[in-house]
Amino acid sequence: MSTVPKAVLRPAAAHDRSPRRRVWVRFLRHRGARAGAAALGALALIAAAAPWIAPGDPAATGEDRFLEAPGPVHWFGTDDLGRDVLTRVVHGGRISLVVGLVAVGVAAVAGAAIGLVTGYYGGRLDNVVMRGMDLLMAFPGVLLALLVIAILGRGLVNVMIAVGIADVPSFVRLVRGSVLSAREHVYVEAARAVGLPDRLILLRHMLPNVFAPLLVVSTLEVGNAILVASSLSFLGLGAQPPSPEWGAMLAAGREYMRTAWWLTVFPGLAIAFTVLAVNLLGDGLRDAIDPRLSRS
Amino acid sequence: MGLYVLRRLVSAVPVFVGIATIVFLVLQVLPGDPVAMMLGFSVTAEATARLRAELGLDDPLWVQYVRYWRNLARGDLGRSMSMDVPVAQALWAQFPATLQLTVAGMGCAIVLGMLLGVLAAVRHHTWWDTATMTVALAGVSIPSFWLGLLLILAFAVHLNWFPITGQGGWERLVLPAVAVGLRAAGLLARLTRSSVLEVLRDDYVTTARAKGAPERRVIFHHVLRNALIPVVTVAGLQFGQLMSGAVIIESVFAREGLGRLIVYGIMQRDILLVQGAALFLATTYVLVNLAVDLSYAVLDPRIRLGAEAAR
Repeated sequence: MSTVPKAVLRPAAAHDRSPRRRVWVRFLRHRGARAGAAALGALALIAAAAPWIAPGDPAATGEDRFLEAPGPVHWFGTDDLGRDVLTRVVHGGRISLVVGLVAVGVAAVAGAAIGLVTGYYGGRLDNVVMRGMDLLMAFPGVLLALLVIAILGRGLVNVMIAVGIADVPSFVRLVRGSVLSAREHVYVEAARAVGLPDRLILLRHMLPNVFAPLLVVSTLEVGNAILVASSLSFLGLGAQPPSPEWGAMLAAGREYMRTAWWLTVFPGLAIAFTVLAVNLLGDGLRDAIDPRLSRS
Repeated sequence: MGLYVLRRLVSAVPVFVGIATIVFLVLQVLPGDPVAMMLGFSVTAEATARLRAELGLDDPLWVQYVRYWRNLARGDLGRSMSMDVPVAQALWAQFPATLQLTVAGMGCAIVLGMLLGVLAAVRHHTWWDTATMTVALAGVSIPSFWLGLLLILAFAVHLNWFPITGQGGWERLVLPAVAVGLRAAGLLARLTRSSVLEVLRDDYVTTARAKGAPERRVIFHHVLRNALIPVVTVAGLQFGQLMSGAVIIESVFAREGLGRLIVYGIMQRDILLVQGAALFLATTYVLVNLAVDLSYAVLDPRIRLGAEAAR
């Protein structure tokens, strides 16, 4: 009896080894992932509670507090119109997170749908769509986004659309690749043999297969989307004044760089911190889901 | 070798045709009337009709497409409405500035990236490693335009080491080049580190050390030569990304270049200018990637032999 391994005696041990559990354990052990998730959670919380944390109107001007340096009353100082920079940075977090999530969400849904269909059916449709995607990928992302804005016009919504469109080809490629290998599996053949309609095969059998890589790439792309969107707002093509979008705040603050450094430092710090948190989380997810891809 | 180069050149042709077609279609998919958008809303119907006729927008799509290619073959990208010069002329005037900034950014990325990467690998598991990799991660996460602003704030406004903005002279190129190159430097540092760590475990490195070769010689003579092959590959492919980074940094440092031209074009609703600049930049991007591909074939015979064997 003493030779029986302990694991056999503990039924819970078998459950511990389920793939989902292993991913979760690897994720929790990943220092970067923990730090990224905590930082992103805190940012999301601050953004959600912005009206209570920073109750003032981010666009409200102050008559006697222009360009005040950071101090006990205004921790991040005030801008040229007397607006509290901390209030604006906190409210700006809502915009940046929403822009990143919506742009990547739309791109991921569209890319996954196109990738699922073209990968599953293959043939001429796949050929035509993939050549189109190759062409879109021939444009650098920022250039494609600029071209879309030239078509649609300036504004934050158009920036989201532009960033989303620029992201679609990478999602199509990713999902199509996963579907191409998954469709040869026996369980897909079995599903087809029992007469399951294609729509259900795609949703029930293919989609779960591509979900993990889709989640990793989506997370990493959110960071990139926030960067590109804030760059476009900085150039004056995205959010317009008096919006507290971080890129737009930096553009407005550069006029006062010599006298008011805080207008250049704090909004940029917020962008860098958010993108760093998202990248750490994405790296951690990737390492947890597929340790072979881990960077040494 | 000649056949391989020819095949790669031919394969770039459909890509160029596709890019040009996408750029042509931009004017067609504009929501509403593109002419009204270009002219603004307070113009007469006569002026709108005149511009429509001038641009040939009343013709069937295929006629416009044929004319577009005929003009393209002559290097005619139309006339910029806001600048009143041919678009091609405006682009060629700005291209050298963007190219200069991209090349300087690339140099900065390679030097900084490889230096940090080698340092992190050689001092593996020390605070040097942690510090350099933190810098590399920061390089990937910091927005380049913000880095540009910080560099101006520190080195131009406070320390007064460099001029703040503008064109001309290497001293005006240093800060924008660092801002353009730091992101790629971060990527290259991470890649160099893992590549050097892998080579350090190889037998011939152990042999070199066993023979009593000094550590500096082992690293520079044996390790780097082999570790840098994948790094050079990625560095080449980063060139196009750096060029689009340069497009944004030009605005931060108030430098001339294609990026500022595109932003100006969008602000002025000068669609032909934006169209032309997009085609120009995308074509340059494809050509650079092609050149990188071909240079590997020259440097590494396995690539061209592999391609020929696969036929």
